[in-house]
Amino acid sequence: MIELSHVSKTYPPNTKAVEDLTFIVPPGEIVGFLGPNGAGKTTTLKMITGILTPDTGEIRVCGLDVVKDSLKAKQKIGFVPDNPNMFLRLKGVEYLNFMGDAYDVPTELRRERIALLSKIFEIDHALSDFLENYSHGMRQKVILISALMHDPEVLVLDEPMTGLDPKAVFALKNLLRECAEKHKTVFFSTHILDVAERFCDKVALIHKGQLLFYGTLQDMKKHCQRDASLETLFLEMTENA
Amino acid sequence: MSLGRSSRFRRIFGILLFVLAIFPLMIQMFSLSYRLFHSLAVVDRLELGMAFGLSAFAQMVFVFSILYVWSIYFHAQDIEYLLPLPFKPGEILGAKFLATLLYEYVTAFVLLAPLFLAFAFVIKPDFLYAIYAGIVFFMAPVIPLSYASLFVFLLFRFFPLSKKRDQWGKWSGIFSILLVLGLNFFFQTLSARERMGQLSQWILHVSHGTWISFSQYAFGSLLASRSLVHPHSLHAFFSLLEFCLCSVLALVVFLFMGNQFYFQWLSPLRGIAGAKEKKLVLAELKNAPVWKTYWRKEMRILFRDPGFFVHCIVMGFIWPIFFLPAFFFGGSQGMSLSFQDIRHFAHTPFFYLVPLVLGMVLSASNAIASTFLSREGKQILMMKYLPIPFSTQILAKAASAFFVSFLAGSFWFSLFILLVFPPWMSIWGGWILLALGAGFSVMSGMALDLLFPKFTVENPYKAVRQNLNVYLHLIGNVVLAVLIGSGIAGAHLSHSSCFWILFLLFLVFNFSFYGFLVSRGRRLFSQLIL
Repeated sequence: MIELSHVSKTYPPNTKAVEDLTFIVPPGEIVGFLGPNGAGKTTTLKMITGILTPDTGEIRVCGLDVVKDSLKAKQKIGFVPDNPNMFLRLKGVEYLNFMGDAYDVPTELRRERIALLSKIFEIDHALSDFLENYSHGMRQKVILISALMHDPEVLVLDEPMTGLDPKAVFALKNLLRECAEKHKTVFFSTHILDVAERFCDKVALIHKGQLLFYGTLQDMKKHCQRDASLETLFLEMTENA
Repeated sequence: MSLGRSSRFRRIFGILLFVLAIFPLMIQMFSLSYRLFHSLAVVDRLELGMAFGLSAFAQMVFVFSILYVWSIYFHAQDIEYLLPLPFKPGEILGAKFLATLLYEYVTAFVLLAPLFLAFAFVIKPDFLYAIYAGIVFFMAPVIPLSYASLFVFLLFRFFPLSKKRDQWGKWSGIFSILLVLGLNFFFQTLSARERMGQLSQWILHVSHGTWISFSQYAFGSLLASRSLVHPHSLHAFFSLLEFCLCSVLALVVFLFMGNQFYFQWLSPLRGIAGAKEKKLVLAELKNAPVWKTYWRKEMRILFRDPGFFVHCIVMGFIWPIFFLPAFFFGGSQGMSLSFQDIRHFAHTPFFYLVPLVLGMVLSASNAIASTFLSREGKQILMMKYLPIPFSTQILAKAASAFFVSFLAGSFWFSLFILLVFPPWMSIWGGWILLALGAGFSVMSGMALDLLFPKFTVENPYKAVRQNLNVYLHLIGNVVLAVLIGSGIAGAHLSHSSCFWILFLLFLVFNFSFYGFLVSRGRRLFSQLIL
């Protein structure tokens, strides 16, 4: 579970990135995080994962305060950043070993999970090569494997489908659904509204740092008092805000 | 202090530092050139001296350009943004050539400006010389840079060097350092008075028919030199005109070739090589203590990235050689130590200064510690979201910097031991001080980078060589070493008391900086906004 309570963040000198954000992402659900560019999505995800510290408010992951209990909270999270260009001088297998050690994954489990996930994402043949020789999509797959490897309680993903081929997107959606069925928390940002509409149990819509809406698509339709697609509702809500 | 003022201060300080660093070299260049021109003026063959100087400059530009323009033309990060835009290949190449040329003017300022000034002191010229010298100054790098650009084009077109980009980067970096080392050796031996006489005799009688005379024609140095010797003659005017036309012609040929073939040759050189297919070996996947895996990751990146490998690893094993000629072949101006002097040195308290300073200065000069955050660039995010304690990350990064510095320091200290033959106790004491000196320098460098990190780096070269923290750290360590040396000299310490004082002092320094890094560092790191 992810709990945000009155979270605000201002970048110097005086740019309010996120303002009084309060919502809960419960376990067993897939929640899509939507918003225009610069709305505050990445800042929020960075605060949840401990990259940034909130100015005010509190964030809890599985009941752990991400500021006070940061290491324990981070251990519960599998994070996919928006940029997969990490440590390109390492080989795929070296990168995964590094991440495995960081999350303290035992050797046997590590081998089992990497063998399985790399087969699902069809990247097992390339893991012995350097990441710099990978395409953008292949790097994204390695990052996804590293986030899923330790079977985390909470998955936080920033635009996870960028650069993936359709087969990998399908595989990722299946994996995320499996995680949710295992009562894990899945929270991801996306600009692909079709995916959010068909795949997410709930959506959180953020605009200019403030939460405009949080709930199911049905709730959104009720809120807007009309039966329209998520795309139409999204445009309407962000334009009127 | 506001961010703008702080960055302006750093820029001004950086420029001042650069001027201070190049000033001694310019003085040396002026002195050498003046003595050369003075001896050639006696036999009225000044143009040979000027042609020699200009040709040496052109050769230097040519060789160094070959070593780095390949990355500018073929592997610069902006190429993939420029290629889809409606630019002609010649326009892209022209802009890149111009940017490179601007950098060459810095080299020209250091080497040619003293040459022209020394020449002016000998011939006592008028205003026309200044105009001609200005024109030659601006045109001098054009021909060698054009040749180097063309050479690199052909080299990369017909040899499969693009596939070995990293190896090329590493070897060209090492070759550049060795070249600078050779030049340093050449200049230092040349400072002896009798050697200068030999050089002028060689220029007068032997240089004809050698590579030097060929290069004087090929790079147009002879034409440029004729225009400067008797600037009032019509012959000088036409020589200058011819030199300028040759320069323009070389550039036009390069741009013409570029227009024809740049895009065609670029496409196979760029892009991702494609991952090699190889069966996953599950045995490679095994867990290790997190500090060890972090340290291993650091070392792999330092050794595999050509920019880091050359500047952070190789440099520590090479640059102390720069000082050796001054010690052993310095003549009247150098220190010219004899073996007796050196052997006696082992029994003085100053013996312990050598390993201590080696540890301090080598770890400051390899820039691993003082760029431990800056080198990460945008990857710094990862340091923040991984569930690894900050103290472990700091320890692993410090260990990698210490390992490289201690290795290089041990190499040089071993050579020193072979030269000095100190008693066993002094050897062990020396090694302990080497470790403490390196440890102190590593932790002070890390503290500096933590206080003033620079994340706007585009490539490894900029992270380690265009980073003021590196120079501040090096200067700080050198100043401290000088202060300690003066302290030892002033305090009249015995051999053993010197060891114990340095040992205790640096033990305290090490613990203090480690305490700072772990306690205050954690807070500073968590406050970094990326």
